[in-house]
Amino acid sequence: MGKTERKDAAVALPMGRMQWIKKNILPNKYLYLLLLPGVLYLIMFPYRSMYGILMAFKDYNFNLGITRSPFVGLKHFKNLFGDTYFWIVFFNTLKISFGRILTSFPFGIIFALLFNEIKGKHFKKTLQTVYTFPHFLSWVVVSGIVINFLSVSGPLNQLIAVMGNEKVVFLGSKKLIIPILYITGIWKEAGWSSIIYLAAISGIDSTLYEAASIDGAGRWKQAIHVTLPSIRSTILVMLALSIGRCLDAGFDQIFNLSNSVVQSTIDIIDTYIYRITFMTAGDYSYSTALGLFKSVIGFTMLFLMDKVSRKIEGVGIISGKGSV
Amino acid sequence: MKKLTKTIDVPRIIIGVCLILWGIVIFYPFYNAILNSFMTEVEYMQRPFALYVNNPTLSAYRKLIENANIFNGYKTTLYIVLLNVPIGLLLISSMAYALSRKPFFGSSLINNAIIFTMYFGGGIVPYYILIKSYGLMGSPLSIVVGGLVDGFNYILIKNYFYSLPAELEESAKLDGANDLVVFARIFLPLAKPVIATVVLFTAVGKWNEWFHPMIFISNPQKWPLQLILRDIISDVSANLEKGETLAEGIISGQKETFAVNVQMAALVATMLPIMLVYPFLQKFFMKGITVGAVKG
Repeated sequence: MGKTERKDAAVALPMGRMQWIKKNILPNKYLYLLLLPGVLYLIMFPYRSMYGILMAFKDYNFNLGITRSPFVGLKHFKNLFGDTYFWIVFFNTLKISFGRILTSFPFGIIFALLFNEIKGKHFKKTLQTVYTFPHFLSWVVVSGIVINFLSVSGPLNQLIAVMGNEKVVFLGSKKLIIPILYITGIWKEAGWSSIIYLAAISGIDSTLYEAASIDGAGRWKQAIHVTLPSIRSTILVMLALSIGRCLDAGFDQIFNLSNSVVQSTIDIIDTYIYRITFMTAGDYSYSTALGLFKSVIGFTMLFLMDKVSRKIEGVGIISGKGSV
Repeated sequence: MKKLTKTIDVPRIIIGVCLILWGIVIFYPFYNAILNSFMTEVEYMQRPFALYVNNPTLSAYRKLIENANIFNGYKTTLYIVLLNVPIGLLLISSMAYALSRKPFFGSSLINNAIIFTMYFGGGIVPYYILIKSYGLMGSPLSIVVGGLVDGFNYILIKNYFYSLPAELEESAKLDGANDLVVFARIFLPLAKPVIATVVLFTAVGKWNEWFHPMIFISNPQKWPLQLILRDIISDVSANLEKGETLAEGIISGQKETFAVNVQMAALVATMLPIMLVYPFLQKFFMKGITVGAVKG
């Protein structure tokens, strides 16, 4: 967008700089004033922090600062791609993300379809309060509940013991930890994501249902042949968004539920970055390179999924041009 | 009665029951955590899967107040929320107003610059260096300055301003009002519903923030609530790593471990404000997702 404006400015210049300012800047002086604090913030924080990406191409030295640290080109990226552990966490990240999409993604839709069949207004609202509430808690709180609930002396194991079975070390099991991530993820988020689909369902033209029921379609057939096709675009947009975000495998959840037994099983890019940066004497440049790799791939994925989504459904996932 | 028997609808009842069952699965762990916080350690060992407490005690809460920095935590968290939310709102809404007007020189560039931050960032390490270079390390201010211009909230408010009739601005301008007046006196008051949503989302987001505090603030006296809770809970995972059961860990007392009831008391203290407020403000939260359509 910036390009066209610069062209306007160039065309306007012969008019004389003062005149151009009079025509374009002065009438909007209060708008510029309103923008000023926010723009200063953007420059001082998000964009200055992006400038720090340069570190990925330098050997960062705190005393020299980002600008004066020596330039080393792609050295850190070469090291990164030669680092076998990097590939392990990379594939762990993809595995967990796509595992989530396969196992957890449908639950929001299922809950929405079920809620749609419920009639009692208060009953529905109360249930929705319960279903959506965990979304607003941090993973610190939720993992506190999960750890207590699944611990060896916790309620679930007590129940297992009463039924005469052997106790299970849920969170200390390499086999169980990934399913636990999925289930606790559904527990926390599925109710909230069903709200999006319910909003889409509430926009469906009721004559479609009337027509379907005249044709003899029961509740089940109406859900399959009317409701689902009507919210298809919402579903695909949400799916595209999830795929676009596949490099975010859930740092908050994994970090708070992890322990040394299962750590290697659920080590993802973000936990790896955290560990090599803050738990050891970190090589900031290397970590930045890793972070940049993640950001660039993530951004590209989102961009691609946006294109795909626009092509199939005519709705993009990258918001900004008016409403989504 | 006749009518009632007529309307019994078996599939609907099954669906209702399924939804209630999952509702219980969501609700019970919370309820259980609250019960545990009022239990003695002895009672917890005997019956953790409880529906009520036999001998309720406040000892866990007393211990929590004595041992932990819980009040400091409240203070720090409130400080962060009360500074970040209004400043952020002011920055975002003034930008949203300016950029929802007729396009002017630079407007779309700035709009795109805001949107871009939603999808791309420098990553945690450059941000860490940035906070360090501003001398904010160790201070709760490092958390206050985080995410002041949030793209999603910006879009939410901007779309709302768009939807207001253009005559509002025009007639006020004819009366001699400038953009500052139109924004502060007319647009902002009209945007109350969407502002409520934005305020709630940012407040909850800041209330829940723990990662940046964890890497920026090393002094426990300055930790927000979430970090204090994390510290109290992480003892459990530490025991688990040693292959010790929770009970053994507490009994053997090799490590200074907070008992489960104290952990759950800390947990209740951390989530209580959200728990109390959420049911009443639910519709504002819901609006955040339905108005903005997409937020993962």
